[in-house]
Amino acid sequence: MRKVKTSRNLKTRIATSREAMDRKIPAPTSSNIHHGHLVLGMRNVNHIEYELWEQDVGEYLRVVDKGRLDRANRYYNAMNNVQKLLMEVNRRSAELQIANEEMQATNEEMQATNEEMQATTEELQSTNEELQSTTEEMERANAYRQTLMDSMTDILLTTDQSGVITDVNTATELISGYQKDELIGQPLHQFFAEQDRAQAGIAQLQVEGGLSNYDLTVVTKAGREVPVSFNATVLRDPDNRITGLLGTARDVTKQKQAEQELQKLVDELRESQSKVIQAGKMTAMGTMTAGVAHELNNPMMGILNFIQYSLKHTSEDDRRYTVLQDAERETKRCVEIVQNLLTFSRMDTEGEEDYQKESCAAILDRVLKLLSYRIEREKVALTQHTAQGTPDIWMRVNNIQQVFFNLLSNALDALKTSEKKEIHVDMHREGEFVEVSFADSGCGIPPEIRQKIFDPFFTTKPVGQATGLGLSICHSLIKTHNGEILCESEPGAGTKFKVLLPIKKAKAEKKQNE
Amino acid sequence: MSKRILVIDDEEAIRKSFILALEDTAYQVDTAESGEKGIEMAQKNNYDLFFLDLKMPGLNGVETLRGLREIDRDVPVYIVTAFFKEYLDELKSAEGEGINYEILKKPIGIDQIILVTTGILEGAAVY
Repeated sequence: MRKVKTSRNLKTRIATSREAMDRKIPAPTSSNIHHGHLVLGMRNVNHIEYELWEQDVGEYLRVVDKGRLDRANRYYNAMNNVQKLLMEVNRRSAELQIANEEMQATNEEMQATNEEMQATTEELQSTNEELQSTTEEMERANAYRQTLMDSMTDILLTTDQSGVITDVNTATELISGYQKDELIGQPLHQFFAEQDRAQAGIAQLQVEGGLSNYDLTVVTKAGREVPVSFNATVLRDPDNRITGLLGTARDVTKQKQAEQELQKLVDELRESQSKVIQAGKMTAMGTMTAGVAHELNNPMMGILNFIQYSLKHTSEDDRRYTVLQDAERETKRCVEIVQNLLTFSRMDTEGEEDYQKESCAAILDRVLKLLSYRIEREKVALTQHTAQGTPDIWMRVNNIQQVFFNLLSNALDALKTSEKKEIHVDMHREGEFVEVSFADSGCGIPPEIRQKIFDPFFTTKPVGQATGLGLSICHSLIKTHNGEILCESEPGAGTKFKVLLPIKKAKAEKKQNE
Repeated sequence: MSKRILVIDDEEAIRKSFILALEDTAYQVDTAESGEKGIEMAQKNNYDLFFLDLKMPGLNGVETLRGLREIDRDVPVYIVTAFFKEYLDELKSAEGEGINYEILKKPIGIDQIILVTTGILEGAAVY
């Protein structure tokens, strides 16, 4: 719809709608005409008939005015309402004012309370700060203590009065393999392998107040034994009552190992020293006996021939005949002794007999045949075992035969007074050696005697029954073979002689050495 | 003429032993107390057998053996000794030069002396 623009000059201001309805607008005013012209699209205002105008424009204008008045009425009404509302607002405002004042008072009270609280809070704050600093100090002290404990490489633990573990350091966990939790609450003595000794130590500690360098062994979780040196002191409260124990334990494994190694070295040194002494003794004895034996040979040959000559020219009825027979027999014994001396001193056999490859078992068989009569007569139970794969060795057969013979004869001698008569011969390979051992169930050899058994002329047998050369000869012959002869014996538990003979050719080595 | 034996040994007991042992045999036993004396006697007489000691003052057994072999290359020489290691090398080198000898081990008794002597001189199969 086309908009109607009403002239500003149009006098439309009227007080009431009634007035507006009653009013007649003078038509032929120029402004109205113009207005009507515009509204009605009329070209010629002169042709506008009043009636028509009244009917159309008047009516319209009245409607417009009515609308305007209605709006004005609504405005006035609204204004009234606003007025009423304002009054209400004022009333409420007054009420609020009162309420506000009350609140203000309450607020002030609260403020005061708040200030009090503030003060209290500040006090609390300062107390808290003090506490905080105390706690921090304590924490620092605690951390320091813990660091001290954990930086130790030794076991450090504390117990309560009854000996139950209350704390341990890191080293304890590391050494024992147990976690702290597993240890705390356990009785201290159970921590050690020697529980009785540990308990005794703890008891001593409680009496004496301290314990130092007490040897114990910690058994780790993995079952390994760790030797420790245990030191401890009692903990007391201000009233001097014992509240617990503080113990440290140092792992002395390395120390022990070093001690053992040192001991081993000392033992080895002693052994080699005694070997040197023995070797020196044997050499000196060997040289001397060889000289003596050689010097004795000539006169003995003379004596033997003189006696045999006399015997030849003495009648068997002559009472001197048997005396001469005795003399001949004894001289032959002397000859045998001298022969043994020469064998012992190695002056005799060297260069005579060549080395050959032979099995020890075959040699033992021969020796057993030689001794079979004695073995049977003396009711000795002889057992023999040769391990499979025992190799033949390079040896001078006669020498080894003599060694076996001497050792078995000695074993038989040892069983003479023994109730249990058993000999066991065992042969097996032992690395680069063949080991032949002769074990008897005889009376054994006391340690003080065992040291001397290889000395020439040392014997425990009655005079005239032995020369004391048997084992010296064995020793000497085995040494020639670059072997070893060892004696293991416990008084009452029999004796075992071990002969170790190298499998390699000893002769070749010997020549290299020479 | 009976066969002759020379015993060269510095030990009287040994020399006597041979004399006594062979007393009842048909052999003639001479003795010399040193190597020098033995060689001297060997030059003068013909011996069928020598018993010779090794360890003697003056000429030792091996040196005496060489002397004897200069006189006679083939007559049997028995070295009677208890101990010959000391002379082993010398003996070996003598052996290398073609000097032959036998060894008898001291001490030997009367029966062995007779046995060895008759064995050598009569060629009897005693061994």
